[in-house]
Amino acid sequence: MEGRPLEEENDLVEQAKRGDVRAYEELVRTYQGIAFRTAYLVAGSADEARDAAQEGFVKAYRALGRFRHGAPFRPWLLQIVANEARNRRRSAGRRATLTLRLAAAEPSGGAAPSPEATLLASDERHRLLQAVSTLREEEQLVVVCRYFLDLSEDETAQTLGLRRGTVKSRLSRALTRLRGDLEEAHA
Amino acid sequence: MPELERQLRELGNALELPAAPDLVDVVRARIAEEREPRRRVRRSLVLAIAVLGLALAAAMAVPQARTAILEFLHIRGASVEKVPTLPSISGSGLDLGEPVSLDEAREAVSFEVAQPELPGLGRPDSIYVDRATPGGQVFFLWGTEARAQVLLSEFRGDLNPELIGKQAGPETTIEPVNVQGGAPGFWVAGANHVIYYLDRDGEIQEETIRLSRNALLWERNDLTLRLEGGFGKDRALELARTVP
Repeated sequence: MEGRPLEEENDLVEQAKRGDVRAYEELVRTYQGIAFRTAYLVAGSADEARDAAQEGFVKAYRALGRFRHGAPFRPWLLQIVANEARNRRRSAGRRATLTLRLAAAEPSGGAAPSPEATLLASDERHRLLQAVSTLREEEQLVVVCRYFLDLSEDETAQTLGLRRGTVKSRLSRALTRLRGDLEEAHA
Repeated sequence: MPELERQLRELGNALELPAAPDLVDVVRARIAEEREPRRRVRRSLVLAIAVLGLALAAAMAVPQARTAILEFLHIRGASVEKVPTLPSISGSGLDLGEPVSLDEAREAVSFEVAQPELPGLGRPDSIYVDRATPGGQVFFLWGTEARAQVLLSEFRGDLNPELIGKQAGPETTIEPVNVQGGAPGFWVAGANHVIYYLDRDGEIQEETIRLSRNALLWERNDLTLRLEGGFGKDRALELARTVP
C-alpha cells in the first residue's frame, strides 16, 4: 500500500499544522500518485486530474486545522481530491465515463509472465473493463476506489463521502451486475 | 478472495493511466503565495486592530511550558494556529469602510443586532458592516479607526465555518475559555498575532494582514463573536458577558 507508517504520518501532519511546509511537502510526495490516479479515474481527463490533485493538496493544507488528530491522512486527502475532480468533471459537462484503456503490452521484464498476469486473458479483461464502464456512476465509483485504487472499504467510504454500509451494498450490487454482464457475454 | 474481485484488482493493475505529474513544487509555490500578505481589494473585510507595540513581543520571555499549551484551537467560524514564524506584516490601522447607523446595520445582516453597551466604555463610537460576508458581519468600534480601543465583531459562524484564521507566533498564548454561560471560546494574548480572512468561496486571498492585540473569540448560538483590544483576559470576559 502506498503510504507511511501511521505514526510517522501523524508526526508530519502535526508539523505541517504548525506551519512546517517541508513536512507538508513530504505528504504531497507520498500521496501525489494515488491522488492523481483517484482524480483521473473520477474526472476522466489527465489535465483535470492534475489540476484537481494540485487543488486538493492546497485545500487540504488550508483545512489541516480541521484534520482530526491521529486519523489517517490518505482517505481524508482523497476525499478532497475526489470532490475537486468531480466538480471539474461536472462543470465541464461530462458524464462520468471511464475512458480507460488497457496497457498495450503485458508487464514485461524478460521473465515469464507471472501467474497473475496470465490469469485473465486479454479479451476477458476487455470484457470486464467494458462491463465496469457501463455500471451506474455510483457503483462504478466504489468499484474504482475499492479495486482499481485498492482502497479499503473504510477508505472508499471516506473518499466518496459515503457510509460504510452504503459502500458495501453498492459494491455487492455492482459485483452482481458485473457477474450478470460477464455471463451474458459468455453465453 | 472471490474470483471476480481478484479479476477486478488485476484489471486495475493492467490499466494504462497517464503518468502522475510531480506536484511538490507547484503545491509549495501555491502555499507560499498564500502565506504572503497581500492587499485586500474588499476594504470592508479588513478589520484587525492597530499595530501592537513590537516592544511588547520583544520583551516577552518565551517559557517553554506556555508554548506547549495548545497548538491549535478551533471554534465554528474561527481558528487559531500556532506557527513558528509569522508572515511579514504590511499596513497598520483599521480600514472598516463607511460607518453605518444601527438601523442600517440591522437591515444589512441576517441576524439580530443589539446595541452593545460595555461597562466603562458605553455605547460604540461607530458601527460598520461588511455585506460581503455570508449573512453579513457587524463591527462595533470604540475609539477611532486611527486609535481603536475595542473592536467587537459579530457574524454568522454557522454560515462561515472558516471566516477568520489567526496565526499566532511562539510568544502568543492561546487559552480555551468559557464565555457567556459556558459558550466555548478562546483567549489569544501575549504578543503579536495576525489575522487573515477567507472569502465566500473559502479561498484565502487578497488579505491584508494586521497585527492584532489581545482577542477573545467565542460562539453564541449561530453567531461567532470577537472582541479585540488592549485589555487582559478578565476584563475581556467581563466585557463579553455584557454583550447583548
